[in-house]
Amino acid sequence: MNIKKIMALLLTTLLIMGTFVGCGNNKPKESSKTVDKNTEKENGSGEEAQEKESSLSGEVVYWSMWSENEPQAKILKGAIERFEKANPNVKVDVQWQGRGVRDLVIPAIEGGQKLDIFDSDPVGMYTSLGKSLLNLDELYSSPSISDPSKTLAETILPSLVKWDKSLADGVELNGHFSVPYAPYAVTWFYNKDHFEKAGIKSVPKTWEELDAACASLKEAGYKPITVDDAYYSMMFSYYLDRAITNDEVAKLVSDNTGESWDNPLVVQAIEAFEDFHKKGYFAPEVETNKYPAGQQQVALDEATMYFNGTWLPAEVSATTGPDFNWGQFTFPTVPNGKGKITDLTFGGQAFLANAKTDNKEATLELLKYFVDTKTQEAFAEAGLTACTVGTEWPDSIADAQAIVSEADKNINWGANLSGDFAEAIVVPEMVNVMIGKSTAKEFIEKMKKDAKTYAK
Amino acid sequence: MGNMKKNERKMIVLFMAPVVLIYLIFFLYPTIRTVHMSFFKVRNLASPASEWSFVGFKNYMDLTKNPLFVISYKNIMAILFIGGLGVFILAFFFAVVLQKMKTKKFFRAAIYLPNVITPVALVVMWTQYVFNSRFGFLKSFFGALGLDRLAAIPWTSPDWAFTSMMIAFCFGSVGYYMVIIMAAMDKIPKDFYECADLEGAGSFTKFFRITLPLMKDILRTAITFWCLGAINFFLWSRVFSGSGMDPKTLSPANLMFNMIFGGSKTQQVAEHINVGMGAAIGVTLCVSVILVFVILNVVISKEKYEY
Repeated sequence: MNIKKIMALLLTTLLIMGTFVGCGNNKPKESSKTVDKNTEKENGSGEEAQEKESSLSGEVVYWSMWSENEPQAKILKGAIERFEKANPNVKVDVQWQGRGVRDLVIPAIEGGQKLDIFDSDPVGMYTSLGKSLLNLDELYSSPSISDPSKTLAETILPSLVKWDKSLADGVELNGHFSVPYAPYAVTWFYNKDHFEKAGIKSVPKTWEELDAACASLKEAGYKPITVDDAYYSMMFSYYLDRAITNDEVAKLVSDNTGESWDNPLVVQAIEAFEDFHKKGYFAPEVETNKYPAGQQQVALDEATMYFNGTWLPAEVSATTGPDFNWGQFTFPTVPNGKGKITDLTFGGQAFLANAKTDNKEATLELLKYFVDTKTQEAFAEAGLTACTVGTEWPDSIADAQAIVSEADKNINWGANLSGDFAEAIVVPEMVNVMIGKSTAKEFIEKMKKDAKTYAK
Repeated sequence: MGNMKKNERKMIVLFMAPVVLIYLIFFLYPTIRTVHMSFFKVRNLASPASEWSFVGFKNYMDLTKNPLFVISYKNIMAILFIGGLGVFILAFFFAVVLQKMKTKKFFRAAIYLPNVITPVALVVMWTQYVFNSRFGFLKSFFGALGLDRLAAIPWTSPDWAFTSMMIAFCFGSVGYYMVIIMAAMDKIPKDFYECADLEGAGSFTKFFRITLPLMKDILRTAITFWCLGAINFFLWSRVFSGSGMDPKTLSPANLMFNMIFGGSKTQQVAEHINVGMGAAIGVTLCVSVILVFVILNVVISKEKYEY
């Protein structure tokens, strides 16, 4: 009986402890792979050497943010194939991690695991990895594969190059540490046919114009705006950006005193959403929409506008068919707002490299293949966006390409309305206002109260 | 005889040693590290211990003031008690009913089935097909029965999110406990019931006077499993809401994950990450489990029946 007791206790404890296993540290692992860097240098740059026979060897480990069956993965596989053909002595070890990669790379790199290239939204990576990222200035200034008369930097969209620089500046790093690709922009998506039938001549540039457009749409029998739970926060966060700028939003959600919520512009933001609810501009399904129910409403012609990223038309193309009349416009300005209409969340994913790579030359070479024109054209052909100059985006997001080219300042994803407090307190309460379960006044009171008690 | 005992003891030590060793290395050590970590403010999961700053019990004090933690704890308590009651009542019900059916094996497999499907797939099935407010199963089902008020329940709305999640989770759990209970029932000798029948006992008397007391041991184990599952409730909470952080469906384990690995959508708020507080949640959960274990051992007394 005693042993039974001990066994039961042991087993129970084992079960409990299971939850902690994830917290264990990775012991640094010394990689056995070495590259003869001297031979490398004698041969000049990897690029020249490759013309005859590639001097690169060893292994490059790439952790991808794509899952193996995604179109992006297939395109990148093509690039890897071309790379391996040109550099027969290098083996690329790809792990198709999927989006979870962002949670995995930080402990992996800090723990010294063998990992050369990974991709992710670079914003978070710059903040959390900083100096652990490999400086890519050498790559940016090296000749591109598709057009050796140009440097790689010259073949990438200038706004993306500028964006990468600003990210580095933001964390006090000097130079380039990521190569952005798969650019996106966050804009309003709308059904151009609905706008036409409702007699809306031009896209709204101010909140008042958006209000008027919604009124016309409603009169024409459409549900003007829809959203689903995955993107609940987006419209509100952009209103806040246009009202107080995203830098202030960051302060707002980390304010321990709760006083920032008294800011008249913040009050105006939530009141604007209360107003839109009262006017019936939000589709009634907003309350119960589980992603992707909202975007399906637009795709199924039931609702007109959905605030989202440029990946949207591709995501719902199975529902819309190829002839859906997509349009985009950027988030309008708001009364007395400090944010500009040219502030835009654009950017994309980015390839990054580990500063502790033991095979820098091959790593840089593979990166070139990932962002050369051939790979990027394959992206555009698959209905995705390309990061190279002169590669046209698909028709369904042509408006967005223009918006990106006019964009001036890049604002973070979600305009800084992020973090535990924002996600778990601000957004759910804002949704209550949006669906009429709560008022703007109650929202502000709750924020002021909870901001004080919430431990940062 | 004494020699036998000695040998037996040797055997026990020999067989237990690998398990104990593995336990010490892979479970006890990380646990101690986690407890240790919970007294520090830690910026990054992988940052060296030299960069940790000691804050004592502050992480724990902050937790009690963190509305998210309080809500999440209430959530798992609701799952533990309300959900638990539902699951065990249903599991017993099915176990007793199926015991007498000829198609027992088929239904046992069917009711157990949700356990072999990953919760992520189950969540999609529930939210997109069963709870869907436009063409969901519940809407059509109640609609067809003419129960309009039930058909109109907005299952996927914020107000109903927790109830929906609990129903979906419990639905899948019933089969697991039903199988355990059925196995325990099968072990009880039939002569007891025959004897009771002769004495004129009804179904209820037989159930409460014979079945239930004779499976007390197994029932305690089953309840322990349920409590562990409820306290470490993670995956359902993580995937049930769009952001993964909706306080309506948040669980402490999910909050812990967020604190340790950063915001679920972005890591822009890296400066807010305090891994130490996440560790404190882990320790709190661990203590809760031990507490439940102790309480269950006291409440459900150990009596040995030989049969």
